[in-house]
Amino acid sequence: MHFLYLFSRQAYGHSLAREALDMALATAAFDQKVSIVFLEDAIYQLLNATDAQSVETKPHIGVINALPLYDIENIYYLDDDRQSRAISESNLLVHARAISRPALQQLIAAADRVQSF
Amino acid sequence: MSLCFAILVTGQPYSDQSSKTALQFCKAIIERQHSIYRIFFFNDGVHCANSFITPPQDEQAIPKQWQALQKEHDLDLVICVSSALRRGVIDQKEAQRYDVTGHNMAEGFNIGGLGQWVDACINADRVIRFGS
Repeated sequence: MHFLYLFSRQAYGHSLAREALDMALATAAFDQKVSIVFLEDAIYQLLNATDAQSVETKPHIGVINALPLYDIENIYYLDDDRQSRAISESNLLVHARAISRPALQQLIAAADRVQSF
Repeated sequence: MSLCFAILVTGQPYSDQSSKTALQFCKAIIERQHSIYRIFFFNDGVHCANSFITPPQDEQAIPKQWQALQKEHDLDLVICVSSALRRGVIDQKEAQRYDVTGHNMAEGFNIGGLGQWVDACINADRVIRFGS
């Protein structure tokens, strides 16, 4: 079954960002196909230079980097979100790919289970 | 057509409306002859299982309402273990394991893992989350 997760929170504002990511990992661990789209402020979760030491929280980047190890390779963001936040592509993790809004709509339509956090 | 629902509750009682809305939604679908595969309490939603919650007398005790619904319809209420332990919602077994004095998980709830939510998503016809 294809599970699509739509995240829209930045990494450290609310624990749901982290716990929902754990849910996506658990889904993959149960041999389901998982795709994740990091929408709006969730694109900040994909920054390759985040350092959580100053907020005394476990770094989020560790889990994000572990996604391919769980066979989660469909990791996307919207290029509109990136541009409106003035984030350079070189600052995003290499395993995240930009998709268009129509592609996002297709992804939602094609998935068996869609959950947003 | 009768549908089977998987319900995810991520909002905590008394802070926002979502857990009460989830309760009302569950009652409404049961009334309409649909079924509930499982109700999974995740993130702040695990507070719904805290039996120590003691609201003023003129306010509804949300954990008690979940318990009553569970008992009446034999529902499967599961709280996520990692969410619950972080937030101090704990059953007798986990209290012993972590050497914690006292336990507060309300009767009618069970502690489980995220695998049980994935299982519910696979087996239900509809997946709905309550929480901001």
